[in-house]
Amino acid sequence: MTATAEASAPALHNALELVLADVTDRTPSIRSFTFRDPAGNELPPYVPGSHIIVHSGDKANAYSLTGSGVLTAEYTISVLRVDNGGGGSAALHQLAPGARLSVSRPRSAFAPVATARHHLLIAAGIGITPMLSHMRAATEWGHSASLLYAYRQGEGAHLDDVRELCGERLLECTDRSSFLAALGVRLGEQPLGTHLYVCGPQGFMDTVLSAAAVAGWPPSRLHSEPFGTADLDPGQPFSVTLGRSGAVVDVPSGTSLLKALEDSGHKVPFMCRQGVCGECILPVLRGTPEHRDLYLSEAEKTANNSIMCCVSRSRDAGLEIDL
Amino acid sequence: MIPRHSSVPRPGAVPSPARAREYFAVSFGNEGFKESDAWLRRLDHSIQRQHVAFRTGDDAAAAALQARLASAVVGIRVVLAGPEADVYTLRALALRMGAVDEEVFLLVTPDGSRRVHCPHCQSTTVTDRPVGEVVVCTGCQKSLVIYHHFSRRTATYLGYMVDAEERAKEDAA
Repeated sequence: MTATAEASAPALHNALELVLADVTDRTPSIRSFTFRDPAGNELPPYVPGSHIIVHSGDKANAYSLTGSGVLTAEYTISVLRVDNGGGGSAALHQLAPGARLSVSRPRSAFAPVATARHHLLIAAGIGITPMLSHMRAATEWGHSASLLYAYRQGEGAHLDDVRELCGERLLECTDRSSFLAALGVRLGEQPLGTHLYVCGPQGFMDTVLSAAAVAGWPPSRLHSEPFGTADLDPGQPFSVTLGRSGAVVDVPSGTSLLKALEDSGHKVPFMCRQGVCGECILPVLRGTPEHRDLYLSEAEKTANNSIMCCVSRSRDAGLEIDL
Repeated sequence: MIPRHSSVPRPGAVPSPARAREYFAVSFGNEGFKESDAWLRRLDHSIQRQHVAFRTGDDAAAAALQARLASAVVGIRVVLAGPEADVYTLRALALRMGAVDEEVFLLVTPDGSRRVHCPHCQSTTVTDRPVGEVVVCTGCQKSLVIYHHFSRRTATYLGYMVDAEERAKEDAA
C-alpha cells in the first residue's frame, strides 16, 4: 500500500523515531528499507497486513510492513519509486542507512480473518508487500494460505522471498490472460470458509473483486488494500453548513471539502487525503454525501451519517456537518 | 412482552436470492417444504439447486448439511426453512462449517414451539409456551422462566429459576 499525501503532512501522533538500518534494491524501481530503534529496543508488534506512516521530508506516506508482526526487532517496507507521484517515494529512495525518520506506530487495516479456513492471497506488483506479511504469519501459525502473484516479467519484487516461503502454495502469472484464467479457476475451488485478500492497482483489484462477486463470493469474504488511488473527477460545486456555528462554506469544483474547510480556518484531522486512512471522518447531520472514499463500508455509506471530507462531496444542496 | 432490543429472532422480510454458484436447501415439515420450494423457484433457472426435506429437525438433517458443506466451495448458499429452533440449529452448524451470515438464508415458519436451556442441569426442554412464561425443566424439574435471551449458537432460550429467592430463603430457614 502506498498512499501519497499532499504537502505539509501533519505531525504524527505518538510517533517512533527510528534509524534506517538497511537499504536493499529488489528491482530497478523497488527498494526495501529496514528501520530499527536507535537504542536497539524491540519495536511494537503488529497484526499481519499492518502499515506504518513514514515521514520523509514534508511528505507522509503509508507503507505495508512485510514481516509477520511478532518478535519485531525491525520494520521493513518495500517502496516503489513513483517519479510522477507526490514525491514521497522519490524522497525515500534518496535516503542512505543511518538516516533518522519519524515513523508511526503500526496501523491495522488489512488483517487476516481469525476464523478463516483458508486464506487466498492475490497480489499484483508492489501489492505483494502486505501479502508477504500475511504469508509469513500464516506459515508461523500453521494456517492454510495460498498466493496468486501477478507481476511484469523482470519486475517481480520479493520473488525469492515468496518462492521460498510458499513453495507449492504460490502461483505466478506474468501476463494478463494467464492471470485471468488462474483467477477463474481459483475462485471456483476454494473450500467454504476461505477469505480472499487482494492488493494491487485499483483496476486490478476491481477485476478480482468483480470476478469474485460473479463466482458467488459474498462481500464479507473479500478484503482489499488500496494503493495509488485513481484520480477523482473534480465534482460539482456545493456548499456545506457547519452545524455548530451555522457558517456556510462554499466548495468549488476541483477543491476538496477538506481543503475548503482548511481555507476557511477550520482544523480537521487528516492523513492520506485520498479517502483511505479514515482520519478526516466528519459526522453528517443532514443531506446526502456523495461518497467517493475507500474507507467507509457499504452499510456506512448507505447510512449517510458520516463523510470522509478529503474526497467525498455532496449530492444535494442541504449538506450539514457537525463541525 | 419482549423488549425491543433483545436477542429473540424477529420475523423479517423474506430474503432475496443473491448471486451464487449453487443453492443447498434443507427444510423441515410441510410448511418449511412449501416455503423453501417456493423460494427456490424464484432463482434463475441456470442456478444449480438441491433441496432435502425432513419431517422434523433431527440428527439426519444435521448430517445431511454437514456432509454437503464439508466438500462445498465458496459460492454456495444455504437455505434453511422450517420452525425457528430447527432453522437456527442448522444455521449454527453452517457457521461452524465456515459459512458467513450472507451465505445462509432463513425462512422461519412460526409453529409456536421453542427450546429452553436449563443452566442448572444443562438439559433442553421443548415447549409451546411463549417467552416470559414458566416451563418445568424436563431434566431437573425446576420451574424456569423462558427469558428473552436467544442463543444463536445453541438455538435455545435461556431459562432461569422463577423461585430462586424463595428456595434460598427456605434453605436458610
